[in-house]
Amino acid sequence: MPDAKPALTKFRAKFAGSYDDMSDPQLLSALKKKYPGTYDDLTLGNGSQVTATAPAAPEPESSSGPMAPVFGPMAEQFSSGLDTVIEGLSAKKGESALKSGLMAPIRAGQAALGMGQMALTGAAPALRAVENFGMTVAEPFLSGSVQMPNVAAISRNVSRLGNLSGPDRPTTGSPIADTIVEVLVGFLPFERALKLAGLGSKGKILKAVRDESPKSVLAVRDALKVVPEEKIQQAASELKLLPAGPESTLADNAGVMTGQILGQPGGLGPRKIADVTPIEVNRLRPGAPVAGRQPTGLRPQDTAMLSEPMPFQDVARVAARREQQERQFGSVVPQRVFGAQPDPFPVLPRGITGKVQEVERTLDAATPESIKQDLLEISGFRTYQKLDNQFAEEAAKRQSRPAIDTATVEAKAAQHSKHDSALPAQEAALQEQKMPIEISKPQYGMLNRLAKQALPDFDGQDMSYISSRLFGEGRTAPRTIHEFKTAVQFFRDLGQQTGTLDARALALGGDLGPVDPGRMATVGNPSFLRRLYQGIDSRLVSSGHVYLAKQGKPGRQLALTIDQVDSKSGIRAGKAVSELEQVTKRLTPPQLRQVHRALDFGHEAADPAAARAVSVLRQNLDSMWEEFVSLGGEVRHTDGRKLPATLTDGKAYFPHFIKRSYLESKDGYNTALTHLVQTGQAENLGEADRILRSFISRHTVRRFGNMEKAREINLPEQFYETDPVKALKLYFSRGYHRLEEMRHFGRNDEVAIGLVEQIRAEGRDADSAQRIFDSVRGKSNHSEFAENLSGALRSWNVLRSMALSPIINSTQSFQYRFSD
Amino acid sequence: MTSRAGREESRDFALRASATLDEAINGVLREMGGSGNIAQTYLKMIGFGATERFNRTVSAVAGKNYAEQLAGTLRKNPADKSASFQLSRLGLNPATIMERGLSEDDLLKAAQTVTRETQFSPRPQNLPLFLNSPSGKVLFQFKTFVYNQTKLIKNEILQNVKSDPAAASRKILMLVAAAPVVGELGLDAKMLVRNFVAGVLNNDVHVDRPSALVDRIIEDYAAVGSFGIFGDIYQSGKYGERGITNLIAGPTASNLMEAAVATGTGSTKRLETLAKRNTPVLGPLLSGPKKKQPPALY
Repeated sequence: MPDAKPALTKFRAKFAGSYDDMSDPQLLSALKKKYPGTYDDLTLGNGSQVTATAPAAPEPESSSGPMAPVFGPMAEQFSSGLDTVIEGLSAKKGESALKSGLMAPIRAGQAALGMGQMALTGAAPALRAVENFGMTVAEPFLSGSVQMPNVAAISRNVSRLGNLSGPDRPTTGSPIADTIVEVLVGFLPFERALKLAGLGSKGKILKAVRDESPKSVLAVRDALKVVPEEKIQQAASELKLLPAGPESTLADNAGVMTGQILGQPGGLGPRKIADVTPIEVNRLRPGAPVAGRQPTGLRPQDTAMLSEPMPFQDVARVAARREQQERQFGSVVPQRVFGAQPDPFPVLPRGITGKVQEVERTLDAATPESIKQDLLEISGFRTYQKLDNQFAEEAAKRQSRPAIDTATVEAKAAQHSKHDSALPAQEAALQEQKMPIEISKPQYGMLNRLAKQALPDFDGQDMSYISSRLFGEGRTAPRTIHEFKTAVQFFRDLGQQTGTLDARALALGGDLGPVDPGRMATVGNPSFLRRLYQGIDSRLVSSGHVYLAKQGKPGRQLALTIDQVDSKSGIRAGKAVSELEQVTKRLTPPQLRQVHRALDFGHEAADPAAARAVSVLRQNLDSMWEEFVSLGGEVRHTDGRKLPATLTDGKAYFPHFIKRSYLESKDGYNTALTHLVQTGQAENLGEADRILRSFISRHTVRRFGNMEKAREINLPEQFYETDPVKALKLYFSRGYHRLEEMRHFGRNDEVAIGLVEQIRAEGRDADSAQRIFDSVRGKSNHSEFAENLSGALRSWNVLRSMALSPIINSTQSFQYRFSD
Repeated sequence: MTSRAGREESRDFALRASATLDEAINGVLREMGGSGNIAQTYLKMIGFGATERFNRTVSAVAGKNYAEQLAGTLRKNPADKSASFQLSRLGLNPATIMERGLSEDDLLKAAQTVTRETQFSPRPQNLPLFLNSPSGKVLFQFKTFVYNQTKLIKNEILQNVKSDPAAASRKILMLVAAAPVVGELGLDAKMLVRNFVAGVLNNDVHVDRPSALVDRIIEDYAAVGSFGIFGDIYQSGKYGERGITNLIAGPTASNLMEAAVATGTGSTKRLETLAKRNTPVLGPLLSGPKKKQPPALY
């Protein structure tokens, strides 16, 4: 029987001081009662009485120095972390969590991966920091993210505290926003929580995080006020964080809980979130100095907890909670916001209890190596590799570049830093007036461009060095509008620029003249007019292509790539369909049936003409499949399992397109449901309905289902399009399009997403670029109801007013005369 | 293109250039009438699909011929900047063409470019974001043509004015000269059909084209979209409040507003007109100006 000691130690550490009055057996007994099924298999060994965790050590008053360096290449670390996870998986094989049937092995792997994913999430700011400021500034971020101190630990703690989320929680990329969202989702379904927090969409989340964390914090503060009090009470009582009772007000509960979560050295401490001001939250940002001391990292209890791997019991508990949540709130399967990362938590099957046999069978079949490969595949490991490569390139670049003329920099910095003497007082005045003083992202971009004009090969180390000269030791970048202006003046002076950027600065909402507190507010605010203009332009005026082309070089490249995909796939499909028509145009219906049987079931086509057609078409289908595999394509099941690449070796392949007319009729749909039940593919009609809807959805989403999704259900033949001409026309059109997408955008759109990120890094309108790309890829953010209503209204207009339209439409071939 | 073999060849060429792929034609129909089967079947039934396929075939072949013509010009005079510029606008590389001539793929690419430029594929990147949303599709139904037409005119004339003024002049002349002829033919045919059907149905609808020359020419230009969105605005003005609402909020909102006004004012005549106009399939044939009654002669 597993020893309960580690779990109890961790539990005590997690709620430091709360259970000191209970002995280990008492605590274990209470836990077994409170969480049936989770701690059942644990026992205390002989004499292994665990003493209560000592109270947390007093928080240090000041920083003990720079943050720890990065230990080894990230990819190696991650790989080694995976080994540990796999070891854990193997060791725990068949043990309580699995036996209880609460989770499938793949899910266990995913849950374990969640930790890695958090590290990745933590690494996201680091990636951006490297991109913007170079290695020096990025190092503390990296150190932080790789070792998962503040960010990941707090996030993880809160995940556990929330008890409803587990590791499969979408993340905003910002520790503060993540933490607060986690608090909210402890009480509410995720979508609802986001809406309450004013973060209703991915764009809004990213924007909130990017612009200013305080905004999201304040939005959440407001949101907390409307969380039903009983939810908070219930959660607080369950977690034993707060005394439950009518005397606790909602704001107190929420505030204290959030305060505890944010309670790190130099942080907010156990306070009401309602009292938190934007400026205070600002201080929590990594690297921000706070009144003589600096955030130093984890509290001792956090460190203690981090030193232990997440036990299976916790994972199982999360899984159980998730089920409970689903039962309570309906299916809440949050959309992840990882962008390029494939979703490591695809739709989690509901009702997994009772699948013990399947769990054990799959686990038996898995080898450590196969698990590792799967995990590497879906974990975003490539991001780590990319980061390593980026660092290596960065280092090589620095070694090869000429050194900066430090004497000149020192002299000019001394000259410019004099201007700053009055700034602290002015900043304080602004803070009192609660005026924004932060630099916007476009302004950072502008500063970088200006710096690069002044100093060839300028990078983050240079920015760090110059900032330390301009704004004082320890500073790595300008932080306020005042500092931004000082830095701009400095770089202009250094590069002897003469006002070439003034127009751009004006476009950003201010000028570069002398410091004037009255004007700073407008400079600090991302200009409303600019956003308004962009919004109108992207939504109503410019076509997607033109708008992308306005977004600098990466935008133009994205627009061009989209066109290339369309153009190349169109011509390839056109050629294939032309060939299809050539080989089938003289075939009679019986011959066409032979072609279908030969392609679908591998039967021999007796008729020579049909056999010739089969040979040509099979060659086309095979070459498409080979290309698909060579581009890294994979066929996957709903649960993420991959089909072997040799799947279609052999003989028969014919695309299965479900005839819409069948499924759109009630009788047809019911027939399909009955068939699924009768053939044992579903236990009852409800399950059949779910399976069928999932199947249809997966085969009509933006990826090409016929290529990338496993056939998990089998319907009677009349449901499928069996006319080879019709089915293959569709298959060639969509299939070649998908192949070209994979070739140009990457299998998971990573190339396109990279370009969007470049647009963002240049301070341009990346959100609209992302929306345009989503729209091109057929990813709709609109509800099915809205789509259906729109379709119905348009259909009606067509029926009532288009009777004579072909007459005028036929004059449109006149256009070509105009074009050529 | 006259012989049967020639027609077959043209059809096959257009298909290989992806101009007449079923997916492309269906995309246009979907854009017009949503994803419902009924509207798409109806559009195919009244010949919209066929005319679309015809237009695309003509455009594809025209694109091919144009590329061949430009390549010939460039071969004769490699310094011809205009030919070079126009080839690059077709997505081709003039230097490569000079070196090895036009390949099959070059011709397909040129055909595809001309088809897309002139026949307005309903690709999401061709429209602003809002026009791709469900509400935008309703509000701007039947307006995407005008949007794309405006873009085409802008591209063809304004871009050429800078780089190839001679070509820009040709295009303006061609637009000025040919558009009214094409528009006149199309609108006259439409008028004849409407009046013929009205006669068959024995109702008193009678459509007349404007007799004032300026009005008539403007209508001709607008019919083929020569004025882009400005022509649409002009046409909308002629239909009073209904036209303006239609222009701003699309046919659905215009219809709803008209129904509200008719109900509010209790005008049975307006309701009757509205009902006729909204009769599926026959709507355009039943509604319209009434035939003028001959004056009473006694």
